[in-house]
Amino acid sequence: MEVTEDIIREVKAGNRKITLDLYHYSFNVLMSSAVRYKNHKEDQMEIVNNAFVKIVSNISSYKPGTAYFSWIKTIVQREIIDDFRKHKRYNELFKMSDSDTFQESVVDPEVYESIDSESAMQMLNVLPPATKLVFNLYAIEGYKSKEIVEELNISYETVKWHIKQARKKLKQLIIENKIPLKQ
Amino acid sequence: MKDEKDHIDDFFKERSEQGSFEVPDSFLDDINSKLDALDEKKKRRGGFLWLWTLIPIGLIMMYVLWPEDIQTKKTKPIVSLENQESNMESATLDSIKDERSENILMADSLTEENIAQEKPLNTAENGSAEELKSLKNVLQNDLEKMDKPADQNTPLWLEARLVETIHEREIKNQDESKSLNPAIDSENKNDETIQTKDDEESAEPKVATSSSDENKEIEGSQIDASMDQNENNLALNVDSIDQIIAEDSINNETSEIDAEQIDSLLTHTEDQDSTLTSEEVSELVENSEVSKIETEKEAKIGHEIQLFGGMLNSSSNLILSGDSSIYPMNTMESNLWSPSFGFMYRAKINHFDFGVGLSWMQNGEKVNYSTNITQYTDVDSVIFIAWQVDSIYNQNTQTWTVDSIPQFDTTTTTESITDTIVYNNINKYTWISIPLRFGYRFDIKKFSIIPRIGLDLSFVSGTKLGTYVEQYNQGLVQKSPSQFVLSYALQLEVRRNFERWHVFVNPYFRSNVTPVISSAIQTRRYNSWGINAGIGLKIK
Repeated sequence: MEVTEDIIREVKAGNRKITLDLYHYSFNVLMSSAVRYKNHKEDQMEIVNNAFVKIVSNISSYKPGTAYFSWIKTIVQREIIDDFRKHKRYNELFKMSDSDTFQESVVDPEVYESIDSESAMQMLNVLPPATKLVFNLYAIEGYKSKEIVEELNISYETVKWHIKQARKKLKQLIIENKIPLKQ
Repeated sequence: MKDEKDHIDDFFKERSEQGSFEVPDSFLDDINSKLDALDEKKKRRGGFLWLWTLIPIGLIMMYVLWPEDIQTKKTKPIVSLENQESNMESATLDSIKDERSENILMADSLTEENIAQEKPLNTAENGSAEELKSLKNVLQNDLEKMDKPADQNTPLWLEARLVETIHEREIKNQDESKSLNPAIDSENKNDETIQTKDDEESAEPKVATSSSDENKEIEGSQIDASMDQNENNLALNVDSIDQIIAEDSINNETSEIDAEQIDSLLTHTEDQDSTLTSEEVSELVENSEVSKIETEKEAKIGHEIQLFGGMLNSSSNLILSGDSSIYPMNTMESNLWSPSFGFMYRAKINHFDFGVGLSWMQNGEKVNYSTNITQYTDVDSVIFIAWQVDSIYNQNTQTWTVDSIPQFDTTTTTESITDTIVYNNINKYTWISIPLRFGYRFDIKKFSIIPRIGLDLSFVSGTKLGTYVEQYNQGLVQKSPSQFVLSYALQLEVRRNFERWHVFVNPYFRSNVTPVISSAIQTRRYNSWGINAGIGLKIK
């Protein structure tokens, strides 16, 4: 399916069938973002569907021929950040605690290859919400530290700390899963 | 160097992109309900937009289709004033007529009284010409008193005319009195006949009738006796003249009131013929007043439709966020020429000019975004990977991340930009605007110069996006313009007027008050210089 002028026109006109086709077409991208941030199905549904409503509302902003998935990815990211900001104890989530004592070690590249995507997502879900959000934005979505600082309204040190913590924790999880490390 | 496969960030990024998901039914139910709510919201919003668009169109249609009603409403005070004036006039005239008729009756009664009084004067012969003259003087004094306001208020032409009329009547009455003398002579001899005359009859016919009846009786009377009586007749003549003067003074009073009316209510009655009766004068006055008001109405309110087209030159009025790392994108942008056209309805009230219409226009910029070296470098961290040889000559890989590097020396690196992204295009936005204008007309013969100020309520048309270099390291981004933009405008219209139509040129300056593009990085407005030319037609 390609998002053409005709499809945009139909979506704008409220053609439900075409709109639902577009939903199916967009779902994978939206859901893959949602699952990285939210553990529960209901929360994921809220993120995905709210983001899709925004896509439909702003479909006239999309220029056919350009990267549709990048566009909807930006929308779902905004939705996730906005959702996170609604948290009542937002600032407390980002409080830095004493870092766990963890010995730095190197994971063999072959070990990474043996982990499938589902296991990788499960590992991400183990991270605390704020750490998961910062790491997702930085490592997966490609945000720069400065952008995360602006988006989440936290300090640069906080961003760096959460990224470092996420990396340490994820490495620890890989090691605890008895994945052999190269010596 | 960084080994991507070893890096945990890249690993999770890759894995996150590999997932595949089926759409659960609960998701579909939820999205359907959300889309239903969105449709309802859209309908409501659409209704409001139409309402805002329809209001000015409705106003225009009202003016075009029912201008008379609106004019009538607007000119109601004038018309009512006119009615008041005419009512006042007619009331005044009626009162004048009544007064006049009363005065005539009074004059008649006075005449009869005089006649009645003449008899004892004549019969008793104890009155003299001097007494009668003194009586005349008293009457003249009264008249003079009555004339005073007239002298103060009555125009000279009217006064002169009155004097003339009085003089004519005096001559006429003198002639009449001459013819009446024999009758009066005979009447002097027949007091009873005069006394029995009906009061309702006028003095002149009475005297004439009595004189005609008595003429036969006075034939053959003594010449001396008639000579004695002539003195009394002279007195009667004086009285009859006085009576006429009194009547004329009443007329004069009427004229005086007319003059007051004319002076207070009207200003253009000098040209009227003074020989016209007051009714005729008032009629003319009313007609002239109505025509004057109509002329004023025509002069006061005018309606026009204008069609125009032209060109405008837009330049960006760009405010960038204070971040020094943002490259000033407007250095890679240039002005854009674009067309505009539309129509205007204009209402002229005296010299003031009000306008509302509908116009189509475009603005934007030409962009030539090419790679430029910025002064901004962002280094998040440096990952060191090193190989160490231990005491038993085993090679060990060591990796560590350094967040901050103590700087002992300045390292300057000038690297050429390797990417070749160039964007050379036009960002153009189309607007449907409702211009509202207010101006003042300076009419110079067949030309008019109309400076105007105004507001434009502009609604974006189409789905055109603008491409800008806005975000950090993300290359080009697309931005949609605001749905509604408010602008102010300054105009100077120069027109050449013909009978019902006119041609005009209209240079103007237009500037957005609310931004067209608004984001964390940029706030973009447009300033436009332009010129429109067109043709206009008076519709009423």
